[in-house]
This record gives sequence, C-alpha cells and structure tokens, in this order.
Amino acid sequence: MLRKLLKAIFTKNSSHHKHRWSSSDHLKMYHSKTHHSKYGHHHYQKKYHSGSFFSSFLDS
Amino acid sequence: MKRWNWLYAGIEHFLERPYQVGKIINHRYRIKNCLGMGSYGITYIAWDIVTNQYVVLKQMRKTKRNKGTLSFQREAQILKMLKHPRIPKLYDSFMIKDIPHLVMELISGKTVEDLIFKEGKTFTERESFELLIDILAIVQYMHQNGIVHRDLRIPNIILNEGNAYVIDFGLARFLTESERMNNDDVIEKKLRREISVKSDFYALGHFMLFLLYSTYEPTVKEERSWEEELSLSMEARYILRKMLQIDTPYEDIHELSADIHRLLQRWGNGGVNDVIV
Repeated sequence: MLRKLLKAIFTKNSSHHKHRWSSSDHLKMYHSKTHHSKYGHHHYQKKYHSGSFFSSFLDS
Repeated sequence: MKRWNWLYAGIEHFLERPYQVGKIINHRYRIKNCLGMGSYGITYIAWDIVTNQYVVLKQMRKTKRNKGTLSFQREAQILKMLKHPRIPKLYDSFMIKDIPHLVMELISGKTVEDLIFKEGKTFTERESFELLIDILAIVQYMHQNGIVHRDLRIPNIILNEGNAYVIDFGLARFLTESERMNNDDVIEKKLRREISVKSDFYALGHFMLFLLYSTYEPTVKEERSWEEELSLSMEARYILRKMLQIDTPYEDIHELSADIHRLLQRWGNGGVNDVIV
C-alpha cells in the first residue's frame, strides 16, 4: 500500500496521467488576455477542450 | 503551504486511481477501459454481464465526496426524467463505499472533437448549421423539460450515421434552480454556467466556431477574432453574435431555430451570396 502511495506521488507527472490531470497553463494565459468574443484560430484550432483540461479551467 | 502541494497532488492522485481493466464492479460490470476523468467523475466503458452489452459506468471522484454526491444524484435524476432517443438512458445507479456510480447507455459513434482533431473532418458553413439544427432538436426537448445542459462542447456531442447525440449531463441543472456565481469567475465561465437557456446557446455558439474553423487555414501566425478570420455569410454572423451574447441574446430556442431555418432555406433556394470577409 505504502509502495503504491509513494509510486503514485512520484509518478504523478508521468505522461499517461499528465494528459488527464494537468490544467492548461496555456489556456489560462490565453483566456486572461483574450476576450471570449474575440477568439480566433489559436482557440478554435487547438485541441485542449476535452475532459479535465477545459473542465478544470471551467470547474464549477 | 505551497511547498506541500506536490504531496497533496500525489495523495489525490493515489486516491483517484481508476479501476483496473477487468475488475468487476457491483458483481455485474466488468471494466473494459477508462474513457476519461472529468471534474467530478471517472468514466469507463464496461461490459454488463447480465444484459450482455457494453455500458458507460461513471464513478464519482473520491475527493469530491460532498459536492460530487449531490452532482451525481442530480445527474441521475435528470437522466431518469429525460427520455429521448438522442440522450443516453440511465440503466442503474448504486453506491460502493459511499461513492456513487451511474450506469448509462453507451452511445456509439465519434465525438465532434475527435472527428475534427483526430480525423481531420471539415464542416462547411451549411453543414455546420444543419448539424446545429439537429442538436437544437435535442436541446429543445431538454429545455421543454426544464433542463439546461451547460456543457455543450465538442467532446459532448457524438455523431453516429449523421445523427447527433448529446452526452454528459454532469453539469446539467433544472431551470428552476439557482446557483451562486463567484465574482472572480471569468466572464466566459459565467456565461457558460448561468442557469438559463442562454448558456446552452452560448456554448453552442463556440461549438459552431469549432466546426467553422475546421476549414480555416491560417495564413499568418498572428490571431485575429473569428469575425475577421472567417468568411461567413451575413446571416451566419448575425446568428453567432446573438448566440455568443455579443449582441442581444436569443431568449428562447424558437427564435434561434427560426433564424437558422431561414438561413438554410436561402441555401436551399440557391445559396447565400452576401459573404463578409
């Protein structure tokens, strides 16, 4: 159990889970400087809107 | 406090480990694979050994015990109430060690997100509005039943044989509910999460722009607004500005549908020529 816990702590940034867990800094930076009515191709042509990426930003 | 964040994150990560493939849940559902993790839940495809069919199993995240339980109860209540062929059916709900689980119909097909970003599918202006009309028929049913989805995004719309399906009712609310908004929230979050039919139109406005950008090829790295970058008909721009609440928003779905039908009729009668670049 302890081994699993330590493994989880030290591998939390493994690529497998990074995809699922990281909130997108890029998204936050992007949204802080661009008004929602003015988005262009940087917003609509990037795939960062799935699952926890966008949800974490818009977490209610 | 900040220096311990890595430890808290690690512990949360440990607690939130998804079920392993092959594990049987509630003596009935064998986990096939993990579909993803949202704000409140972890979603899997599972095999129902009683009915011999694949289902979607949603497990509440353990670290969201208080708010999450309420959210799961609400989602179950809403799915039980909505009976529409383009909305997943709720088959079962149960608790395991105080963690709520929902079992829903598995909708075959591909999300609009995967179609655009993985398969490179493109949507013309006309195809985008035809798809929107199809989705609005489902949204109209929800609104008529007093439900607002609040999360109509490209990963939550599935296309199968040309038909649209709406999934993930985790953020749906009854229109009679109220919710306190945080003043620090960005305006986009407020518009998306408002308990009003307008929040669904707003989300669908952005949804439409993902479709419309599928054919756009940037010529410069610098970004301009969608109105400057896309070549849209005057009518399309008018509709999108109202959906996105840049102009006076649509108050109900009939008003929005009527504008789209007028636009589609014009295409049907020989096309729209008033293009603004």
